[in-house]
Amino acid sequence: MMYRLEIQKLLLEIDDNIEDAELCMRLIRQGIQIADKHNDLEWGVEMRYSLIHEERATSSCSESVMAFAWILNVCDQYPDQFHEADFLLEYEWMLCSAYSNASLSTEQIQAVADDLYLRLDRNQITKRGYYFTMAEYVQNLGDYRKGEEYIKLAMQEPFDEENVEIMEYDYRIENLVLMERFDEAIMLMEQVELKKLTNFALPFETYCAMAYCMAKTKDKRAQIYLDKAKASFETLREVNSSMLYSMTRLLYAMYLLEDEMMWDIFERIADWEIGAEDDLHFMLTRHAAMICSQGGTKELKLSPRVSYYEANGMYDLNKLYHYFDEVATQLGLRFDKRNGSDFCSNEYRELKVMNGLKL
Amino acid sequence: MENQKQFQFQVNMKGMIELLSEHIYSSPTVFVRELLQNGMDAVTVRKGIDESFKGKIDITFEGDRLIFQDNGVGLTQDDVHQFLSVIGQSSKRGELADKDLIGKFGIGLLSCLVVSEAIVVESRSLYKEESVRWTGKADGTYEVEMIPLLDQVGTKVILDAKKAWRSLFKREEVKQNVLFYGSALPIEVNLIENGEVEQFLDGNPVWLDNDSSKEQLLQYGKEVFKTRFLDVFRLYSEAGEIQGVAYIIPNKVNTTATKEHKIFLKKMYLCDQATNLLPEWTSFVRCIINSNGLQPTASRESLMNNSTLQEAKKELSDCFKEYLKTLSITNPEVLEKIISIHHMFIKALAASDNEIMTMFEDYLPFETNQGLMSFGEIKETYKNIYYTPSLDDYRQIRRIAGSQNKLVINAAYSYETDLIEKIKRSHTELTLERIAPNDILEEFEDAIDDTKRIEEFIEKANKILKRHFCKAEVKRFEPKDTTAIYIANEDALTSKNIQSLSQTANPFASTLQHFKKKEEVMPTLCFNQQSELVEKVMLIDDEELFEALINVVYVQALMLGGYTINKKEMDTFNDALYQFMILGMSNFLPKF
Repeated sequence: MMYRLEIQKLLLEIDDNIEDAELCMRLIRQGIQIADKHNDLEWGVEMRYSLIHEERATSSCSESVMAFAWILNVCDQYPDQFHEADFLLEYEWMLCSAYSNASLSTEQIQAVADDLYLRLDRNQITKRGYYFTMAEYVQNLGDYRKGEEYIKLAMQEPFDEENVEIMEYDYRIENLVLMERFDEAIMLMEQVELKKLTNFALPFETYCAMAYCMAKTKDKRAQIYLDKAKASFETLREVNSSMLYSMTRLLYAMYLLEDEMMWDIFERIADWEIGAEDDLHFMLTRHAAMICSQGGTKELKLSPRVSYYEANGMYDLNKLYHYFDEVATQLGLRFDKRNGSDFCSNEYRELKVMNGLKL
Repeated sequence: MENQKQFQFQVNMKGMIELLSEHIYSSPTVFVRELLQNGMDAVTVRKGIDESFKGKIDITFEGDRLIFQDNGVGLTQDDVHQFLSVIGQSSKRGELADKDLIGKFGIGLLSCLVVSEAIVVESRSLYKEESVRWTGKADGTYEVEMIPLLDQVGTKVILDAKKAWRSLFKREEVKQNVLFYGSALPIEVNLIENGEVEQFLDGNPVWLDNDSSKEQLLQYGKEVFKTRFLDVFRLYSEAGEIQGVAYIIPNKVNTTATKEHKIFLKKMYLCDQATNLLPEWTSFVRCIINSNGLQPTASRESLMNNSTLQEAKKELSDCFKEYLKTLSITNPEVLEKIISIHHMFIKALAASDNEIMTMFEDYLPFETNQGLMSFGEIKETYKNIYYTPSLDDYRQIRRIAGSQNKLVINAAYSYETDLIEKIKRSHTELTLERIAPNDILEEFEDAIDDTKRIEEFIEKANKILKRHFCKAEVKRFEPKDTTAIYIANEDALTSKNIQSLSQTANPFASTLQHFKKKEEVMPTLCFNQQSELVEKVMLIDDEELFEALINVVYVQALMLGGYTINKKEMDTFNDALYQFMILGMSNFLPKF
């Protein structure tokens, strides 16, 4: 039984270093090894569950899927001891990770989605989160109409712990701003504000979506929502790299609206690129490319881990542009190949045209 | 359009007060802050007219009644109508408003209605020989009347405690709250009860006094934070007009511990945390600072994050560097003590700040397979330095590298890897290499003698080990009686796990390899040619016996290395043992 004390010791160490996500992941991995070594399925599940939650707070997804596959396997093998219903919320995250990975085929993603649907159905669990996740998936394919349909289906399902009221508003507003239906989005946001709804990074991320989409179409109201996003950012209890998508939107909205804090945000999120999921990586690199396309030299305080790190802190923005452009172009092509469309490459091309860059 | 009429919103004052008390202000005691602020502002305006004027605030206790009286500029009847009766309109005057006065939003007085049914303000203006009384009530109505000329210029605010808040009107409670919010105010504050006067603030806090000694500052820190601090240094920043002190905590600090400071804005207490303003290193100090130039948020309980605040943050960091630099000359013992206690934070800081890194890299301690060593010692003793950010790899390497006189740093904390990356670039004369357990294999002596026999052995062993997702190698290493060691870095273990999960039925089975960022690496079972057992295994032709032996050695090596043994491996081990027993017994069974 000594090994259980060892695991608990690791958990205490994790508590002491909760802000160092990488260290926590390493400690959790150690815990998993100890549990596995002693064939302790309960601790194996517990530690993997922690690993998934720890990694969800980062921009990366390299270990969660394997941990989840292990848990699912244990649930399937020992249904009397472990109930799949306890892990289906995490399954929705896994579905996100599946479509965020450019190497996975659409068939593989569909198989994951179908399996999740089946398990939700047989456990009579609300499919609210499932439909929202599917809405996000089709939004990534550029099919906003289909996104709207999924959101409608989601809204007919009961709430659950994760998919609370503000999430619904967030998905609805997201879909509306992507279609440039700003007036409707604003009306919904007014309701969020009136009801004072908040949850983790919301409404910060919703404000970012609004500011970003409005700024891209030169809608003057972008400034209002950028200001709201900034004010909301100050109230966040935790900021982590899982927010890379929204932080990139904030960054780009700041760039378009010439906000003085733009480079501070860039410094903060630049190394979130390392190990990031493909769609987050694509998001950051294509927008960072645009920001750096202005050229010149800039003094920046960046982590030595970024591949373009300069010890003297002086960065040639042209060089950075080429780096980001290359990564973004390749990721766009990979997504398009997977999706059988040219949506991602087109989106990037349009961004370049808007910034007056030659194609 | 002509039919359109404009209507005025009706404001429910009761609801508004509830809103203030429940949402805007974090505590009902805020009324003390607002009254101190009003008094201070009134005195500041009067001082603008007469520099030599000495302001004061008297707080009188009469049962459940509290009277805040200042000798500031006072209000005329017009002022009262204009400023006290229009919510949201600040009474702050002219160009002084932004620069010198504390309040800005003009809703501060409303906070008094959280604790009192009515607010009575009696005032005599410096500009007019008249006195006026304004009575504002929680239902939103107010009355104004002229009253006989008050004895002195200034303003009195009279509050009668609501039943629920009587405790807040007690002398000790008010004293505590005045100290909490107003300990830095440059004004004399007196408490008056039954004719007795107690002056408890003289307007000259020790931490804002440039002439106060280190001992005085440390004593003050002890009183405020109840801690005997290791040291103290001063903080200044032109941006945000900041002045203050930072106390070094004398013990190790948990990274998740609440970072409690004291932040004052225009000498009025604002908040105990300012994550955007205070740099990362403030995790191991307690700060008391005052800013005259930063902007508060609407609730006046935090600071607005803007470019001035960012600039101030940089200047505060410079103060810290300057302090450490000075300390390295004037008091290296204290510096060493600080580094030994707070090295985690200093390392994190050095990882993001080149100047700090250059200044302190020699002092920074690292955990190595040779014990805790400072980087100065490491670079003196070793030209080739190895490090690994993987705890699991470190655990394996530590064992093997020790016998090879290799120095391996455990760079498990994320900033340690950053720090080493920086050191690599600044110390080109040193070789700093990331090491994985497999690299250790390279250091082992090659197998000797019959190459063909060894190749054949590896080929045969690989056929068996492949089932365990492992490959064979033969080397020579110490100690001789170690038959084999199993070496798998983190990536190799991941590959092994993927291999086993890929055979399951769930839809992730076929996707797992796509979530790996690196190439597939196989773990290695390295046989020791110097071991007598290995020499003999190489000579065995019987396939079944050979397979059983390899399986036993494999599982034994896993056990030796403290690796996880899965069910399949355990079954293999048991089967092999069973075969050995049968073989062993066969010589003793009766022959028929």
